[in-house]
Amino acid sequence: MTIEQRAAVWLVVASAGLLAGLATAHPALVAVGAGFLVPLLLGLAAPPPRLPEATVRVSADRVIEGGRVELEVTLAATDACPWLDVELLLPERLVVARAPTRRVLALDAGETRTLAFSIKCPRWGAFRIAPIRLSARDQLHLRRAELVVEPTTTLRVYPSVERLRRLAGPRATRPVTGSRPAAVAGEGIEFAELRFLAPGERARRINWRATAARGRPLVNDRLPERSSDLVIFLDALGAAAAGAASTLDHAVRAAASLSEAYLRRRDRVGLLRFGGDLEWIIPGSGLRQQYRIADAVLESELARTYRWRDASLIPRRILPPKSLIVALTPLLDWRVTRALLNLRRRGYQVSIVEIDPLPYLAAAEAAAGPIAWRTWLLERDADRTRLAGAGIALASWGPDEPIAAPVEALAAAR
Amino acid sequence: MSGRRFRRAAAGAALGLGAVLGALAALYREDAPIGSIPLFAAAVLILGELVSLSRGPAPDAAVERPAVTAVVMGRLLVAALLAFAGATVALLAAAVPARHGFASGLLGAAAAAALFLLVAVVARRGGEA
Repeated sequence: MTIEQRAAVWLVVASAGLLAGLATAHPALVAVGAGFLVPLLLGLAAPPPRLPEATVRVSADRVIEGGRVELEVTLAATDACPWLDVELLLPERLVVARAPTRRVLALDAGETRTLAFSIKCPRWGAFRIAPIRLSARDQLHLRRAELVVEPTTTLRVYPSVERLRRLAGPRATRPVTGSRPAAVAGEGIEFAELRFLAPGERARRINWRATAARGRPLVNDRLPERSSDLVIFLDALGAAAAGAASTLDHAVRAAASLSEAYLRRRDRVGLLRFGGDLEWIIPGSGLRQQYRIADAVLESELARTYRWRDASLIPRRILPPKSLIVALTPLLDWRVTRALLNLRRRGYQVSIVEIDPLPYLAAAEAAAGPIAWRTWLLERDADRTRLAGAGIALASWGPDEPIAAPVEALAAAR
Repeated sequence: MSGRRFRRAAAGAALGLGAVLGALAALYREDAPIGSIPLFAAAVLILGELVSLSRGPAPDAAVERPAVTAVVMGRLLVAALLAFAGATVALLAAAVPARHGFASGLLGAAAAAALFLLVAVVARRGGEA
């Protein structure tokens, strides 16, 4: 319970009037002082404001980016509340559609009111929704009772997933059935090549048409369908942002799309988040792994740190041998470039989707001046050349392009 | 009603009332009748309340009609009536010659109590800071 500042003002006016009246023997001053003292005393003697009981209900706790959830606040008042200020304290990334987040209402004793808010979720993330601040005042607004109703629901807004048709595949596959043709011939569906019949081979493998044409028995060689390992390298060390959009947003959306596409092809997918803290998810397959990765990328926030980050910190078990590492990075931090080169030297196949930071750096360009800006661009080009020289495929991705564009470029560059 | 509109309405009413009070003060100066003092006290209190309300609800808030009615009735009307009554009683007490000493005693006690309350509030605020 808090006494409003106005009460102190009234008290000052009242005491000043009474004292001045006493000192000057002027009844008008006493009357003015009494005019403020009487409502003050009666107002403070009245019953204090009582907050209504509030319950919050959220229609869903999981939603895809761009979706909506309905939030209902039910207020049950035991006593009359002439002025109740209800404020919905939403995280920055969530917006309320139509209705204002703050409402002032009056409740009668025993009245129950339900306030509905439609919340738009334009950006991915995990949010505790929603703290609600209640502020009740008495009739003369001399006292205030406040309460913040803490949230009980975590709303997970998953990034939107783009369907990818063509994917970059690793050169080596695992000896586990999947949907990717293996590099070595064996029992499978995908045709590989024709070769001469060897002693002991089954007659059903003979390609009779080719045999008739060549005059010698030829058999079809086929590629077995195998799965492969993919590790998504998410760079959370550096990001370029303009307003609400940032390269990290694109990286997270791309990570979600890539993991969905590879898991749909029965590959194993892991995640390595290279940020303030090194976090990873060991490669796995299936729907559960997809949710695991989606939940992990939701907590990706830009981590500005000056700690040393190197590939030597990455545990070996999260990077299976011969796996494909797809890095999603704006290449703004030299530690990321160094780590990727290090991984390449360890023998991993590394591909980079470079999320173009230049559209977000207009202000930085103006601040840096033309010479510094061009020097920085040259340094970026030098980094790209070093990466390409190490055998790392690199595809640039602009903010308005679909993720399929760089992914197909990487698949073609294989 | 939006909070912005509510604030504007309160500010407009405060300006209007302030202008009326200023005009009356300029017209009557020393000749104001003693009976107008309670009205003046109530008007000053309403003026203060309107100024306070003009900085009240957040501009983006939606203020419902029952809350506006409650404010007009409670914060303005009831407070003004109480101020009027308090000022009238004080004037009447001061106007009774036979009880002049008693009235002065009451007044002194009220002034001392108000002063004590004021010091207590100031001390509490200082302690919180």
